[in-house]
Amino acid sequence: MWYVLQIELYKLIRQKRTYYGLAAIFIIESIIILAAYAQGSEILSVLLESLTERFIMTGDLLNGHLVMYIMLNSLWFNLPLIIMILVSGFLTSEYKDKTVQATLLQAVSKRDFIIAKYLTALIFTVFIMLVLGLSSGLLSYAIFGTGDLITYLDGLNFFSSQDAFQRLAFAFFQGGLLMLSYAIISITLAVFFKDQAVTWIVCAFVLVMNGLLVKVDLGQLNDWVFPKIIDTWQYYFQFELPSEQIWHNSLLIIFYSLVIMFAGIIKFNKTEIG
Amino acid sequence: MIQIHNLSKSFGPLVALDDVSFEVSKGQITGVLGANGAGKTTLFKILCGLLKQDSGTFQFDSNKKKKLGAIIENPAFFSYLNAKQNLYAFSKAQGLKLSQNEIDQLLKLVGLSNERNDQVSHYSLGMKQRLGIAIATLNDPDILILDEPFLGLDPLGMEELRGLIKTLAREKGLAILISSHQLNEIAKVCETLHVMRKGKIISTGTSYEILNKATGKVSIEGKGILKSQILQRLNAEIHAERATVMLDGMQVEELVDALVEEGIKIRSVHTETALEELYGQ
Repeated sequence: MWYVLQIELYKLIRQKRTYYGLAAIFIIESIIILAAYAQGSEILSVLLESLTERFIMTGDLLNGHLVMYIMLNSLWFNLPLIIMILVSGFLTSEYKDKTVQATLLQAVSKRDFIIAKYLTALIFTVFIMLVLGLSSGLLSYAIFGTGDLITYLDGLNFFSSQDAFQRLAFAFFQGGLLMLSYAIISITLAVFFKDQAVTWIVCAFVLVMNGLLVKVDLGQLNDWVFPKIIDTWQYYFQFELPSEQIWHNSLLIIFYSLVIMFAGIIKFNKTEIG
Repeated sequence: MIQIHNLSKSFGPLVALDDVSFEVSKGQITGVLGANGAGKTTLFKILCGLLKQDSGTFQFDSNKKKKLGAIIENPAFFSYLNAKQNLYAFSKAQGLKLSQNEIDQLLKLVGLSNERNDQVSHYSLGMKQRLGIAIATLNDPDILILDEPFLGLDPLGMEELRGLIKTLAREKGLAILISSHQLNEIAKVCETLHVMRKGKIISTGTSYEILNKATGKVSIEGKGILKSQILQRLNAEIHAERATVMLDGMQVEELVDALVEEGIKIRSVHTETALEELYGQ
């Protein structure tokens, strides 16, 4: 399996689509930073007009932390969509080109092949998150500097610069965990649907449904269903950190990811490739 | 080398394979002939492990890690890689560590230049077939399965591919199984042919026997053909020095011998295959 994984990574590096995906993420990142640079102060002063009359705010509120926080909001739809399209393509494009068949005609087992696909998806997603985190962090702090962070989440929350940095870093890791689960979901969807366009539509549908359901009160299911835990990264911006809930949700995301991955592996092993 | 016993496979109500049995020996080139939808590809996919048969068994007399190499339908590659990179990718994936020299040798064996570094998506169909065979023979299998390898090739490409297939059987001792719906091409390379129709093997024999069975019309050109008694008996259409005749069970060489006995100086003989007769359609 190690050899198959090596070749999967080799193919990933050699494909243009990998770089198109990275370029798309970088463009989104640049647009957010440019928008913050051009209009951020104006918008913030309108939003905080009433507050500044009653509170003394230290430092510039349009700072690197706030830009990073805005950047994190791409975890809702933009980033998962790009990741899901790219990652599902690892398999659907090979179905289309019949290279799944060609590879399995070699001395390569179906199990090794599909596990290597999942591992490649995970490695790629970690890489994307690192690139996004590092590049957006470097640009944001270089252009806007640091300062206190103000967020609106069930009311306004203020965090000191040091505290904000730690919370942003943890939220990024939490978001990364979610992106890993989306990567796993995309490979599993590709196993089930095979066709590229159909898989993309289902990926987008999954994201839209998650986005809708996260706002819906599901009663006792709130703590257990996947769409209700996709916002866990936002918990880091509540003034009182709900550590227990964060642990619970993180373990649940890992559990769901493993179940979905095993379902994909079993399905792939049972599916006739011809 | 390959033993196939009573293989059957259905897709819903469609019977794709119906009780197929035959054997292929080491170094032998065997053909499976049939119209589109006859069940050839289904048979090959089952042998390659891509589909599971409903019933029946098959065995490969090989103790290699990779028992068989195959091209099913069309050779498939990573289109964004060049030929050497494709060979590297397919070999490395199965744990092979081929040196640059070994990759060059493999390309040479199949008649591809080792100086081309462009993506394989730019390659001609003939070159893709050759590269496909190079990939299929990675890891030194004992058996090679080629599904419609002549499809879309020009006459020169077909001739080169026939030469390569014969070389692989002769020099590497591979048991080779080829499918085609082009009788003339497959007969030139195979010793034994199995004719399939609707998932069943309806005829088996040497290429010569099957070709003879399928030979319908013969066109003959020669001096004095107008005087031929035998051609008139066979109701041949005769124009100037050219006659077209249905053989109706007669062998081509019998007709040629009879014409020579009649003193006709034959310049050329062309046979036309009647595939619909052979396929029983």
